[in-house]
Amino acid sequence: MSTRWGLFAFFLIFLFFPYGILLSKFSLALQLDVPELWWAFKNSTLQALMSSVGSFFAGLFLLLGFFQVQRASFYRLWMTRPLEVLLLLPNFLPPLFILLVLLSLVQPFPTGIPGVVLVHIMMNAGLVALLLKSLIENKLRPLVEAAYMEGSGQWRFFQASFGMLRRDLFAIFLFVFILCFCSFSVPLIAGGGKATTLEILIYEKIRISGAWGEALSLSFIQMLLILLLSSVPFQARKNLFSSQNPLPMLKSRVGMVLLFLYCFGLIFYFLSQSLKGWLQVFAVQGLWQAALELLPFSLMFGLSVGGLVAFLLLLTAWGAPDEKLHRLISGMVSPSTALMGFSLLFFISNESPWVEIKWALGFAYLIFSTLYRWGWDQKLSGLRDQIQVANLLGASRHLIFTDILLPQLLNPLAWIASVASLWALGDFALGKIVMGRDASLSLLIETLMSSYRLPAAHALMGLLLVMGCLCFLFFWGIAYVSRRALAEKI
Amino acid sequence: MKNFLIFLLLIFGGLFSAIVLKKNSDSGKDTRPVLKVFAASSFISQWGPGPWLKEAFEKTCECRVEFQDGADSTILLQRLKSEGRTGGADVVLGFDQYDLELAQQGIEWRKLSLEDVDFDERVRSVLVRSPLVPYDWSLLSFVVRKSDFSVLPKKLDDLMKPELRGQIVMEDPRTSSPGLQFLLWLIQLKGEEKAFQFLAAFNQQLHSYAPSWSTAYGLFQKAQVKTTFSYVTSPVYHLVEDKSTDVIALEMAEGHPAQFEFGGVPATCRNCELAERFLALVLSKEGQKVIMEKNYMFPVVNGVQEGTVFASIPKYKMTELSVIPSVSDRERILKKWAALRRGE
Repeated sequence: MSTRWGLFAFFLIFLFFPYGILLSKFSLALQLDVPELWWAFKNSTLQALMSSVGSFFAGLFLLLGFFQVQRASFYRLWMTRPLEVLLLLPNFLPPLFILLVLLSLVQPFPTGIPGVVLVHIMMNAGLVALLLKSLIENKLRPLVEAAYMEGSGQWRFFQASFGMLRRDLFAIFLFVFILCFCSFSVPLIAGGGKATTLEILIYEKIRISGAWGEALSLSFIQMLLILLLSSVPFQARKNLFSSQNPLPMLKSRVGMVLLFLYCFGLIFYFLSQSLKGWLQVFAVQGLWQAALELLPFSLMFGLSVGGLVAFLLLLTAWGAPDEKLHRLISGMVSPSTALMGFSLLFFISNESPWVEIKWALGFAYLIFSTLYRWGWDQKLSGLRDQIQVANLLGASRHLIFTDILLPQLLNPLAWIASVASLWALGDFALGKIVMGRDASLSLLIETLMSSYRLPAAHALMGLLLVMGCLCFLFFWGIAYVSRRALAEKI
Repeated sequence: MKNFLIFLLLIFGGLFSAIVLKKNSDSGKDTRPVLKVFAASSFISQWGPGPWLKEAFEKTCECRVEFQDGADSTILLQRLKSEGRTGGADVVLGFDQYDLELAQQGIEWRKLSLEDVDFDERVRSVLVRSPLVPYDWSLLSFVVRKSDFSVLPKKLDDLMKPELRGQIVMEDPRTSSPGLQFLLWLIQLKGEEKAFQFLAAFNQQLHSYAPSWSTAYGLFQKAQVKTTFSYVTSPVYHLVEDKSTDVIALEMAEGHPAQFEFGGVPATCRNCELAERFLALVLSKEGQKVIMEKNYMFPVVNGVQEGTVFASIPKYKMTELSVIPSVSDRERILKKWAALRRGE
């Protein structure tokens, strides 16, 4: 069996293992309530569509604000990179956190699809801004400069250049659409019963009637839909971090104000609410001690998930370019958290250390395909020509991997691994089912929230962010050292 | 590169040692039998009643008590069904009265001897319903800050006043037990048709439906709404921890629904005798006092509340629990609720 087939088989088994376990426990329900399914599908599609369009326009405004900041040399020196990270912050934070901020700002909060769309826009606008930034810098820089010399206005320029970017814009749109289509906690919290999506319907089937078979069938239907969507043959360049050189012409002062509100509003709100929380952390007997004791495991868990995701991504790079593997991973959607957690309970032992390993593996599984679609797929496809040339020149797979791919992949890999770690640090839904105790800081926070102690939970979230920063430093450190080592070797 | 590898080794070695040391200090080389208790995270947390019960029980049982977070009751029930004896659950705590039917489908429970337990009068009505036993309870009501109101609402219709528009947060009945309690209570009070008519108008008053009690209560704590549906014991938390008497539970003319929390010993238990003894401790006066004080819920036995802050809670009128709707009936009602929300 060739390496590619081996890798394909590995990912096929890996991606289907929870479904396999669930199928051995429950039979698929063949008779589904079609009107109910249609209603949920319609809601999922509508909210994802509106969220993607909204994120797109909000992202564009933020981007123009970003360009405005880049043009001011005083800011540019020290602010642009932190701003890029802050733009992504809403995407990392627990949805409940974002929701509490929005609920205090938007009165009355529009529950239902408008509320879901609003939270999704808040979470994804920064991400879209960075994706668009990379796209414009990579594809339109000479054109922007020429248009500027010719005296064109920025909106006229956007109108004229839209056609050139159609495919790339659609690919970014599709990426956000899938993110929102599969979103669970946002429709659950902001939907208020008015926006039952497919994910919510799956949860309801389990929660209300214990109909696990129906939940599993719905999960399969959702996966098929995503598989269909992912087979749309559009390719785009998705890169989160790109050049720091400012572009002429593109700017917006309103966008800059929005950008600062977006980036610093959350931080300000968080800090303003934290003081009372810290007082409670120290007032509740044993709480601070418990939080401290959970730090090593939480950090280890975050790093392990980041490491696992990085390992899986490197495996995909080893086999690149492989269209069938790309289709498999892009079209894969993990089952809902409840189904995933339940399948893990029947996998190997529920004793330590297996239970910790299962949690890390399960969580890496849940986020892997999303992170793969988060620019890694395009990074690999961008390297296709280099791999083909190297193949023609007779380079071995090992040589191609270590000398060509790895040096170019280390930065995005460190970035994605850091994001994976941060998401893992914040997980409580899967951990609650699998671990059966407050094994990590996020689980402790969840327990605090369900026993009146919201301010303390709020304060400890800050500790999670600090640990997230440590994970960032860790993976960026590894990338930096590895890059230097590879450069010395070459 | 070499230095960096040593650095990595040190980090992972340090973290791993910290975890292992913590684990060893927790269990050591203990060969005593292990009593596995599944319960809610708030029950087994550091500030919940779990640690006290564990310590008290381990003093006399020659065993080790191990708590497991039961997560969601539906998942826990399915787990008990699928795992049976291999799961190792000896005691399970944390079901409410609406879980009882599901709990008896495909799971056998040991019949417990409760003759010696002096149950509160108001709890006796639920004792006959299943082999599971209630271990705490509370009535539910709308919790408010007195300072937000010049005149306190006294009946459900008072909540329809214009000044409360957008100021009430409720729990989603599909995902939260208090939310379901409210919906079924409303149906019990008014009959299904009139209850849904009331709900159609009441929903216009709402700030939002939150997916869980904690989210709803969080919104109330952050003063983003004036009231939420919670336990009549919730104000005790604010009295004890915040030293505030401003938060109170409204006394409603219609009465109040009750939520009972149940526990039991599955027939597949491994340490059944120990499990029954543990439940006896849970139902003892000492155990009940700790549960009351740490869980902020009423005790199910007599003679515990006296002389505590819980004795100062007004005697709210309880709406007698008549018929608990079957799982299919509940599903039908929730679908109707969802259809109502859909149409808004």
